[in-house]
Amino acid sequence: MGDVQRIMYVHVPTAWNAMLALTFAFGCALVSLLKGGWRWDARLEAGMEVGVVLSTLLCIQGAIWAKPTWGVWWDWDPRLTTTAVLVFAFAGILALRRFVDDPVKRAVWSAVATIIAYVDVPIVYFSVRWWNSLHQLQSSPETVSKAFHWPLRINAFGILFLMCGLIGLRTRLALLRLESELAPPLPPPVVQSAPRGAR
Amino acid sequence: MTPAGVIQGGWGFVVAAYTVSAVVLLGYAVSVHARYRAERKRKERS
Repeated sequence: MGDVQRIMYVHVPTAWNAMLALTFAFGCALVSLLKGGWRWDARLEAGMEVGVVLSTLLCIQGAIWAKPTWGVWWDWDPRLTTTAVLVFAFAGILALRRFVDDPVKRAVWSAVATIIAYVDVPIVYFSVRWWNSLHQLQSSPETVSKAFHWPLRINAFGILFLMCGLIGLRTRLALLRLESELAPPLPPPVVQSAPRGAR
Repeated sequence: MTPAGVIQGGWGFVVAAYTVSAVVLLGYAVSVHARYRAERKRKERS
């Protein structure tokens, strides 16, 4: 493939970590529904946002790789189409969270929507096997020659550590917002009437 | 002679892919950090 194959070292680790972040969000959605707890809702929001950012980046990297190899920036190929559906589905859930003011309804609705949207993740993964696709089959250290194992692993772990840090910080941000939302309203200011003799 | 199927050039695409990845990841990290700091300051003030 020539020099262009170097894009694989950032594209494939981004794909792995995007799927991992969305799987984390799916796990948090399940626990949030079964056990409840605001921490799981905050983790769900964080995992989903990081997953959407990584999936969007994945599509951009894919387009940059597609142009010199396929001759087009985008094609309605099964892998690309299912990935686009994934990005829009999870971005839609993030938008839904913005529109719902009630934190309880927001937690339940977004957890249910996440579980439904997650159905697309295995479809994205297996799309290259199930249908005729321009996209190559899944890459892994077993499918590339030994010289390329380390660059692939180093980038994968680099993005993984960054992703974990970002999910952690984003969870803390979501918890801070939840705390201010759930805090009891301040009592109305007490208006003191003037003492009787003062008039 | 170049073997068949090998794409000539393409460094521009490689540089573009890595630059876009760095900009997106760094930009998002800065955005999360800035939002977190702003939320903490808002909480301290209230």
